[in-house]
Amino acid sequence: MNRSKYLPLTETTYLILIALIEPGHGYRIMQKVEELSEGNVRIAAGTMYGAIENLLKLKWIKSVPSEDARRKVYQITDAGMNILKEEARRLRSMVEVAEEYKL
Amino acid sequence: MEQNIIIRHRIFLVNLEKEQKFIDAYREKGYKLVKAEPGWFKYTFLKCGEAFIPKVRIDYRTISKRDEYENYIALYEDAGWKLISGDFHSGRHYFEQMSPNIDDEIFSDSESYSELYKRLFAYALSCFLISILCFFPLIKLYDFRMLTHPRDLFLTPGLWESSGFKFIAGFLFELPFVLWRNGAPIIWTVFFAASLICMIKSKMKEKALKDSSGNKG
Repeated sequence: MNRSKYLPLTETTYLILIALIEPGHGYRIMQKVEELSEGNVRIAAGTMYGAIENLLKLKWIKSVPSEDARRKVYQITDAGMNILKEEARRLRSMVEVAEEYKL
Repeated sequence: MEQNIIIRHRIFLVNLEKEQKFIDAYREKGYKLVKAEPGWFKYTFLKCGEAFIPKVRIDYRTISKRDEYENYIALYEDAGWKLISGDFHSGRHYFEQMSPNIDDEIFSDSESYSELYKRLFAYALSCFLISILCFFPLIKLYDFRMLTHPRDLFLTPGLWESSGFKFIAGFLFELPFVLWRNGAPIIWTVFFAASLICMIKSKMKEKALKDSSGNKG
């Protein structure tokens, strides 16, 4: 099976995409990533903004209409969802390997 | 009485780390940065009596749309960083911590930090290309002796053989005329050299950061 050249995703990208299954603005993503990783992954403001820009360029997320005049709201796209599913598959097989060896 | 406001002039070009350290040094002396005008190489500090003096961090980014800039500033504000200097066409944006429990840095991994220097490199490259374009109309004015024999730009006979007061007086007297005659080429040379230095420095920094993030992964 030929896998996407973007895999494996970085932990940050993976968590941002998961956070954006539900629409949210930049700071909401930062909070959600922190929650999802139980405080292990904290994204700083400059890194967050750059990550959003990169993901928009890859068309894995898109900007959706928002009620907030200042803050843009983003959401995952179908392409983003596909890459996320592929990454989840990869991670599951990694975990299976770990279980086989009773790690 | 101690001065309340101090104004300092420094040239940093693309060395954002050095610029932050310079600002931090004043912070340690109890001064808070209130205004940064990198275009004029000018920094204004204010004596601050409070226990908490915010740290300042610099981002470089060109954002062409005003509403996108609002979105950018709002994200920083939500995360606890208030804009002190910079606007949507300035490139350099200076942020201060809104409270002491805000994380010290605005970049949490070296990859995004290396992208900062990639943007600075792109800027230096565009300056460099502009300077190349500007060279063609200047070519007739450009006196190459400026680089090989800068002393020849001075026309006072025997100036370089004289010494002491005579030399200093003669040099200072003629300097404005030299600058007047060769103004455009001198400015061009400074601009050309500065953009070239910025290109090299930002590329080196970007590469160093990229390598360090590669080692981790």
